Amino acid sequence: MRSKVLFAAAMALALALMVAGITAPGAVKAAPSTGLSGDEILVKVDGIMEAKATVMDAAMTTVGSNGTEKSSEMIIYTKKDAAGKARTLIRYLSPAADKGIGFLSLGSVDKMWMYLPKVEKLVRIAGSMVKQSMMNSDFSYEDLMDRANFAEYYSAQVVGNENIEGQNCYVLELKAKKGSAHYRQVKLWVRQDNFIPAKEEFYSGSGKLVKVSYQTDLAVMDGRTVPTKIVFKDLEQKGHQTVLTIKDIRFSAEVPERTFSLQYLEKGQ
Amino acid sequence: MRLNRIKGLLVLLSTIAVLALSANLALAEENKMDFGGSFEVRAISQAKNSDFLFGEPSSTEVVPLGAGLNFRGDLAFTPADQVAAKLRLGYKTDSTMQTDSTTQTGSTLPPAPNVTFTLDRGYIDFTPNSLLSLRVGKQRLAWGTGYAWNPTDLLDLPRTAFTAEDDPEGVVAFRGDLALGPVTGQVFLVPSTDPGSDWEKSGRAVRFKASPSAVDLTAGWVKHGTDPAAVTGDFAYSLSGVGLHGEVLYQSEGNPRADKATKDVINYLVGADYNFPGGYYLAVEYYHNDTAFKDVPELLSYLGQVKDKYIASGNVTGYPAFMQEYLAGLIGNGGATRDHLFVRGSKTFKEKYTAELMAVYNPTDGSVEAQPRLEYAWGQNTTLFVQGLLVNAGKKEAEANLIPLRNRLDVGMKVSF
Repeated sequence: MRSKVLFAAAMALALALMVAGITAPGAVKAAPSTGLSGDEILVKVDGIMEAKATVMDAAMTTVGSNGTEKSSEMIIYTKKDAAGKARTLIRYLSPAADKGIGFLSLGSVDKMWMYLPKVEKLVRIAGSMVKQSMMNSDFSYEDLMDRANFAEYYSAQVVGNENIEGQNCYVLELKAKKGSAHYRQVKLWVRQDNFIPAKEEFYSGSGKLVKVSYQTDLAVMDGRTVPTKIVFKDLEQKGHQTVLTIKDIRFSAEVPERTFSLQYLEKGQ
Repeated sequence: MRLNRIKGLLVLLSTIAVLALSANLALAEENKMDFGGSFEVRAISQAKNSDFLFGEPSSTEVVPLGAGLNFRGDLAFTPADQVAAKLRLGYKTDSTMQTDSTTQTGSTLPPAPNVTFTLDRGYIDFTPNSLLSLRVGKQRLAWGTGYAWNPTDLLDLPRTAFTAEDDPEGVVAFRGDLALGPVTGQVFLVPSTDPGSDWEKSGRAVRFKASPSAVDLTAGWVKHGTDPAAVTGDFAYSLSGVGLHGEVLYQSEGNPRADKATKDVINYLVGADYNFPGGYYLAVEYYHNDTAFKDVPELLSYLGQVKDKYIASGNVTGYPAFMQEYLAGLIGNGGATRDHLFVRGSKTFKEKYTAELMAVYNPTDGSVEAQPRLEYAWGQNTTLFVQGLLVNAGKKEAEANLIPLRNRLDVGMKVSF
């Protein structure tokens, strides 16, 4: 039963990565900023994550080291609560074996639940899940929590400019300023024209590079520019990667408050 | 026997026809109707499948092979935002081959497959607003936090220790949920389906749920038929990464056991689970069933009563599963022994294989029931599996000279659609 929890956690990270790539309307046309500090750029990166509520159709494909693939489709609802914490509800649409599985996060690692439709039961997600690789994917719960708000957990310095696949990017070095940050250091490549991250490197406490992500294939959806493909690699799993694909995002959709309740997670209403 | 098989086949075909029709409707009514389910076939090798209640045949009379089939179809219909309906049909057969023991051993058990066709779910949800939700029809109420047994779950049909995910059949019930700020209040009514039964035989319950900080809490009151009322509670909590959960039920003056100082019942479980690095998962649960027997002689007396019950009713449905559970101590409601330790561990490796072991240990008599399982994910929706069932009846077998163990091996495939 609990193994299904890992699936749901992967979905939650998908959400975070997608939100991270959302930029405000017109931002893609903005002129490159100059003279910004690392922290100011980080605030802008967090700023483009801002969205009061979204509804997303997404797919995730985990590619194993032996080339095997597993794909899932899901619908993801997000909305901030009054305190500004991002809440997430994910419902699986496929594969058939996972259809109907639901995942609810109320913005912190101790407020996560899973709904298992086969037994029609809610399960609280234990804290030990937070540090786990999620269903052989390339990320963990803590990836999700860290991604929700860079500026809250890290301080940043601009260490250069680099070109990533034809895009001029700021290179930022992030250092954790809170003990609850999962990674001690993060290196971030931020597109200069729209502040959408292009690449991220995550380092362990010993300074070892452990994970890398790439956000590509920018496209306009519902009036905003988003990266529609996010590749995430856990370097400790050689040859392994997880690909997230945004199929559609609706920023104007109404997401009722009850969507983020245990009752809705269980009943779908 | 042939008639039974034809009947079973007709039921299966009609089920498939109904669900296929529903699928077509689902396509026609985009986003309004949803269809899915699973189909499982398995080959079975079992040490013996004799009818020991009526006399054990010699081993040469029993072919230790069999087959099982398990079909489930779900149909969900959402005609409006506030209304949803769900239908789940199940067709199961699980039978090992055996000789016609009516002539060779005097058995009265039919040799035909044990076929069940059930309406597992059939309910309507009505959610008039964000505060109130109603559900009427055949449903699973699913109280409690334990995996192998839920001491607080008096209203649902009982299940065996290893079948938590085996889609147990629901009960006809009314359920209402009312959101009261941080607390959700629930009421349940399970009318008795016995002909001519009155209100007193129905099940009634009230429960309150809340999730303050990092803990889920529930408190409830439940009255099951003519039994004394009980109060219940359960919790789930995460402490330093360890998931903790538990349930307790207290019932005044409801205990039939003669050795008890009082007739009060206190059933409970405490459990913990943890995810270790490397993808290992381990869960441990300890159960106490206050209404169960304290020792082997009482167990044997209980077995005699069960035997008489089966003989009188002529009903063999669920009988093999009951006996498997009995040998290991029969965990759960109506259980035979008081204390059990349940362990579940799993590990996924090479991204396609999942190894799992579940076991129940009864410290009273040393009996053990274990179910190892290995799964292989073949594509997106197909699972191949090998599953064993090992039973050591401990002192029960030694002292009672009971039946041979029912060790079993299943090999099968499950397809979800």
